[in-house]
Amino acid sequence: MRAVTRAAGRVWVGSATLVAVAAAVVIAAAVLGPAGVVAEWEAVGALDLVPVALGWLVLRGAPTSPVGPALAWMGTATVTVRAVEVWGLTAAGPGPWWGSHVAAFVGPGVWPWQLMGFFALVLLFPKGLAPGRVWLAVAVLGPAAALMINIALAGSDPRAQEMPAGWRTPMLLVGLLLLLVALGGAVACLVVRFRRGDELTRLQLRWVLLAAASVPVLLAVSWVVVDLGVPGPIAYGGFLIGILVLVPAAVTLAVLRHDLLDIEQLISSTVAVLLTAVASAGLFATVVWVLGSGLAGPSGLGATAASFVTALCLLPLYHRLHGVVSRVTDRERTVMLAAVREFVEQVRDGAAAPEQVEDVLRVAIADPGARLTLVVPGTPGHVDLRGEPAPIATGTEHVSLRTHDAEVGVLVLTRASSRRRRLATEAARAARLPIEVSRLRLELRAALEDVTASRSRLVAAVVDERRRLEQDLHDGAQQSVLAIGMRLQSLRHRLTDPLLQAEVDSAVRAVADSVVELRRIAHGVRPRRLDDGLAAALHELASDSPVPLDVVVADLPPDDMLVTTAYLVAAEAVANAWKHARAQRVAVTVQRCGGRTRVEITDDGIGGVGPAASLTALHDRVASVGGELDVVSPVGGGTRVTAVI
Amino acid sequence: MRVLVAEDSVLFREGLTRLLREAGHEVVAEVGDADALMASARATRPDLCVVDIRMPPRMDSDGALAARALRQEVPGLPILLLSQHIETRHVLDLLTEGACGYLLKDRVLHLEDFLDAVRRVAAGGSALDPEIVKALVSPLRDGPRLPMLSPRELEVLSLAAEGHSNAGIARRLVVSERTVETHMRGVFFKLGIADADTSHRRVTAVLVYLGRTPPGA
Repeated sequence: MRAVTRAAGRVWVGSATLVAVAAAVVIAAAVLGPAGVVAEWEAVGALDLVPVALGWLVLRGAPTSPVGPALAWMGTATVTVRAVEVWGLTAAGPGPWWGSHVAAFVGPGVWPWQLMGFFALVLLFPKGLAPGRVWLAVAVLGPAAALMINIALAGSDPRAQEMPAGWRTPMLLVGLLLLLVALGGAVACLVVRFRRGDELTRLQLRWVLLAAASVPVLLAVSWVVVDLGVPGPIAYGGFLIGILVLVPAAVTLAVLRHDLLDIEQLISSTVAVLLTAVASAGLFATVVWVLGSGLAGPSGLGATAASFVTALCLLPLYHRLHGVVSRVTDRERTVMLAAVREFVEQVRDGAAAPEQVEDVLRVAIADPGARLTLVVPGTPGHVDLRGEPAPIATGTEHVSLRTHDAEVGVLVLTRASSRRRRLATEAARAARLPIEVSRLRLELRAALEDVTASRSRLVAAVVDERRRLEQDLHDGAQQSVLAIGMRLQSLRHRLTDPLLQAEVDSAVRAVADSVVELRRIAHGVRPRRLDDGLAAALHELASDSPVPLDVVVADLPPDDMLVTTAYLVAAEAVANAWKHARAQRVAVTVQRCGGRTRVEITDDGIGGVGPAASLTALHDRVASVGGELDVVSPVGGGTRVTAVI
Repeated sequence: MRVLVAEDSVLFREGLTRLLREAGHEVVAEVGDADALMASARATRPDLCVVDIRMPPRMDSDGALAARALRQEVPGLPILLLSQHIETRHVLDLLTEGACGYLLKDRVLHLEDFLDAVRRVAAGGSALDPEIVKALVSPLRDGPRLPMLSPRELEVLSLAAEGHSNAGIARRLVVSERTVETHMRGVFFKLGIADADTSHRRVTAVLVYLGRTPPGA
């Protein structure tokens, strides 16, 4: 590793020295050299220093990467070629430099070496030469072709338009062909790397692609500008900036800071903008042409109409193109969002449960270990989609989901890079609806559980209260009244006057009536026979019944709440049957089925009980213990009340 | 007659004691819970225990359970159970053995009936409160497995269960004693109770009718 680093360092130092020398030569030629050495180019020449400087940055940040030296070599190649050409030019002047005839001889064919900087960069990016003989061959082919062209053109007149003589012609043609093949191979190398590469490689290659794609565009712009009569160095300035600054800068970013920006978005936006510009220009031209030729109206009208049409189409066109381009440039994101949106649709249509959102997100962001946790009001900490507590371990990568200023949940990732985080954030944002629905459902469930629990606590309290009240009536009031009665009895014993005795006797009878009344009240509160079980209590009810009452009771678990509720339901329904239905016979059946108790009261009365009529109390009583009440009552066909508790 | 009163309500206990004393009985002990009942019954050997079914310590059927335990220790010890309301757990077995009664507490306000029941039980007879009989012998209580008694037979059986003699029943129903005897024989026959000459046959009849099989039947 250290050897690699040291070698890379040496390459860079060598390149930097060479660049410095070459730059000095170029500048000296411009300042001191003969007329004919074009001075305007020298401002551009300073750009050659940019890749070298960037190479140094990469070398610092990633010492083992071959990209640093490759960048340095790129700057070196261009500036050296220019130096040789400029040196050669002095041979034709009044004071030729030392050895300038050699440079003049080599000069006409030296240009392919300029390309070798790019060539090396493309082949080596981002992790050195790809394994395999093919790529080695490509790597050798490039310099070989450059050498062939150089030899074929050596000594020829750069201003001559005809082909060199003799054997040089086929050599030049073969050299050019091989150069094309080598450059094609280098491009193919990029494509193969992108196809086979891991996520990081793809990310880095996207940066380079973005910058590289700008080069032909800038070149095209340069041609247009040159056509318009702008001097070469200025016209080609953009192109040179693209090739010497943009591409090396992109490469540097790709190696050192590939997570700096959302490159996919950048690419798709850039491409979409360019395509939109081209398309709207085409549109503009078409409209102008159609109006100009077809209607032959004034040209001002044509331009105005074209502007109008173009302006109308611009925004939709951009959106459409952006969609298409992102589908191509950032397939993963498009597929991910499509999957999430489809799921959201399904949730909206009721075809999927919102709680599946975690699984969908896992698949969408290609992170099988991802977890979605929610913040539910009233529950401390985070919970999973089933409502179980799900604490987030410290140090885990996660993206936070927020509405307004409150955190509603967290998506915990197991694969984390800033691109992953961006994708996860986007996916979670797209899945906001199901996440929010899941959260609300959890909240609702918790609230319902609370209500159910508090209701059953209330019912239990009422049952207890009834029992206590009944006891108080029996053990307190009733005993006191009885004691009074006994005192009266005792008093009567001592009286001799028959009139007084009769008076006391009637008082005793009144007391006895009060005791009976007290017992009746206590019974209404809670029949004491319930202590002997539901069957005993219902039989007692039957014995008090003015109409025949058939009672069939299964054994019930000793649950006071259940037994009391069943009894009260039966008693109330039976009372209704006597009072309202004019029944001749009533039957009460209590069955156990599957952990639930079914109380059925049927009568042969007039029926016709409306669904809501006067059964609210029964309904509430049954619902209070989480049961259900069902009433079937056809007119003239009796009534059947069924409570399942 | 020496009577033991076991009752946790002080007011009621004092009233009851006074009534018993005024009726010429000797109240040998007044206790307020089941344990004290056991202890003082052993110590004083009363002629009759008047026991509240519901008593401390558990405020459940402690009185009835204590009475059963006492009967095991002293077979034939007359016991008159009292309760605030009808409560048949742990009571029915006891009733089949004779020298046992079960009255609701308000019966003390019908003083003659109450003192009559006290005398009957102390003499080895039985006494059931009419309310309790009514509750137990409901015509709707029967299942198909028991023979159907005629309304008149049921009436006679109810009175018999309360502890009345044939003569007493005849007086109440305003019929001749022979008619009562006929009805009783009908009841015994229908319930399959052997015509043995025991004084508790009547209560046995009620209990059989209620679907409980008394010992030895």
